[in-house]
Amino acid sequence: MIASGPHSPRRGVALPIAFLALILVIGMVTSISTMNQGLKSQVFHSSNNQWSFLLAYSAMSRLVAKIHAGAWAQRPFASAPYRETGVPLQGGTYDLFVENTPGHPFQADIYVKTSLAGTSRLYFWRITFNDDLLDVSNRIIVEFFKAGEPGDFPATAGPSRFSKLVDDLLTERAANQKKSDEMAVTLGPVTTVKQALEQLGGRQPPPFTKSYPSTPGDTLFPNRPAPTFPVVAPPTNGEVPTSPGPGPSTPLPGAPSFPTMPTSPIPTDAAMFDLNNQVKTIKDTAKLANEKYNSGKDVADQGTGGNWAEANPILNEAEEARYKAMAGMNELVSLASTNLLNAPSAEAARATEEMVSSTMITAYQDIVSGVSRAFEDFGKSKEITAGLTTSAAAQELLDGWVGTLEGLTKSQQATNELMDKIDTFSKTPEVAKAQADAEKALQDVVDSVKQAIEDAKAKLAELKAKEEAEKKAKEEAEAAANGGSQGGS
Amino acid sequence: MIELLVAIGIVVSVSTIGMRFMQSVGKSQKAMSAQTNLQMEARRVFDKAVEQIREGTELVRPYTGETLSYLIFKDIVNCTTILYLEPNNPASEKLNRRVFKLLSYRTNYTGTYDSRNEKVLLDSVRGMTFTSLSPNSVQVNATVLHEQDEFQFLAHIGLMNLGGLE
Repeated sequence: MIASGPHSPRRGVALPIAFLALILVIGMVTSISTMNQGLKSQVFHSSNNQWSFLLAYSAMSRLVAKIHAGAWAQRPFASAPYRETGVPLQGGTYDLFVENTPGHPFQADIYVKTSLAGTSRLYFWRITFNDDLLDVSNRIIVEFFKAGEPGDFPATAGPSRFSKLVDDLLTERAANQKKSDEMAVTLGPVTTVKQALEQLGGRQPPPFTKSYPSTPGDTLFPNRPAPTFPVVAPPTNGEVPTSPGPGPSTPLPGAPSFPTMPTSPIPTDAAMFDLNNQVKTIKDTAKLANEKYNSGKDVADQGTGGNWAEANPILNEAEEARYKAMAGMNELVSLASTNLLNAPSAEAARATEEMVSSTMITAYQDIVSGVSRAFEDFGKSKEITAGLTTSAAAQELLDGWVGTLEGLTKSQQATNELMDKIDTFSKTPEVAKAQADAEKALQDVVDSVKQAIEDAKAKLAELKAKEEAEKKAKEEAEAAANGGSQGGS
Repeated sequence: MIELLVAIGIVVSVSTIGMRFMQSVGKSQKAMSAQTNLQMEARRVFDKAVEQIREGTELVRPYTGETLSYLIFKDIVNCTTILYLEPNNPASEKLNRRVFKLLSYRTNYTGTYDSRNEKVLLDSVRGMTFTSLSPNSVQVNATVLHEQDEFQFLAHIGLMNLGGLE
């Protein structure tokens, strides 16, 4: 405010005018901004159409995914129309209505009404479900697609004006199918628009009335033919199916023919054949070992003091049979492992495993039974050692038994390792129990030998002490005798 | 008196600046509006063409891999339709350069010309090509004109009524 004098306050005009100018500037800026907003809005509306279609197509794809997820009979609109209302998607919303196409099995009518930026649009699809178990990739085929008016979105199920329009269009389409196919054939060789319009019965386009200066970029749009496929050369003589082979190094004696059948029969289950042979070998040798152990012991038991001189050759045969049986068992496990890799079924594999484990444990039982019989005298170690009279005899017996224990322990270890190989094989409960019993029986034999060795050691110590005492007493007696004779003289 | 002179000076200065500013803004606004209108017009026409092609049942020409200045396809009822360019002589004389119109013609298989089946989709086109990248889709490359402005767009359109293919 500007005052002209101290006693007559008057209002100035500069400040109001400045304010007025400021308001004008603000008004201008506001109006320009509004105009820019209008432009942006116009551009947005022009792309609204594309966004609406994408929205509708997404909704349709969601529904198709649901149909794909199950059988046609389990579709969500099997008994009544399926609806979704006001579903938000991609910045807009959509309404969905799906129903079975009236009078057309395995077909469905899909209506999608989109709302985007205040504009509604309707899209319609009629799909066919191709119920083909062998081709799940092409189950749903779009028979008909059309954009419609939002007012055609159905409120109730059943035929409507729009569905009738679709039926009419499909009828017209079918009627024009042959004519359009023939026209397509006619249009195949055309190279210019004029030729195409001539075939279609169209009007020939007029030429330019004058020539114009060439503008840079005018020749940017030439017609371009489709690229041709490379020519594939026909197969050479060496590539035809009747060719004798890749070179002269493998000439055929005559015309190509199928190989002749062998004269001897080919076992169709060679692996199983080998397996059965091996099982028989193992059973026989293990049984032989058992018999030899028993017969050897029988011979040893004849006569007083043990007829081991005659028994030992028989027992050696028993040991040989045992080695053969164990080698056979090793081979059986290898054969069975190969056979199991090619087993036709899980049941067949289990049957093979049970056969192998049963065979091996039966053989194991036979061997252990024979060994137990052959080593049963170690259970009478106290009686045997009681008959010893000298430490030398006791030492000889002890050394022999220690050697026996060493051999027996090695055999036990080898047998246990063999049994470990069939740990993972399937076994019947009876077979599993038999294995445990045999292992215990073998361990009992080993324990009896160990106990016998302890007894022998004790007897040896006892005899040594006795012999020492006798020796000492004898020396004392001799010393006393020598002392008496010296004093008397 | 001085006060009045100062006020008039302020008003004149602000008005001058405002006028200059308005002139500049108006000029750029006009150019921008023209460009926007051109784009909108192109998009509008493009939407029409897209809708028409999308409802087609089969692409006749171009073949897959071929590029042509026209497009022939079967429409929603298997009527063979062509989109092509025709010289626009009035616009060419006005701009002193070759300008085309984009037209569509739909045959009814009678073999005679029916003007009702011919439509002008776009008035000012400098060039347009159609390339088929697959049996059921076509790529459109178009350049539209508006006085001295140009606007080029590229679009890929898929046919959605292929179920009619036997």
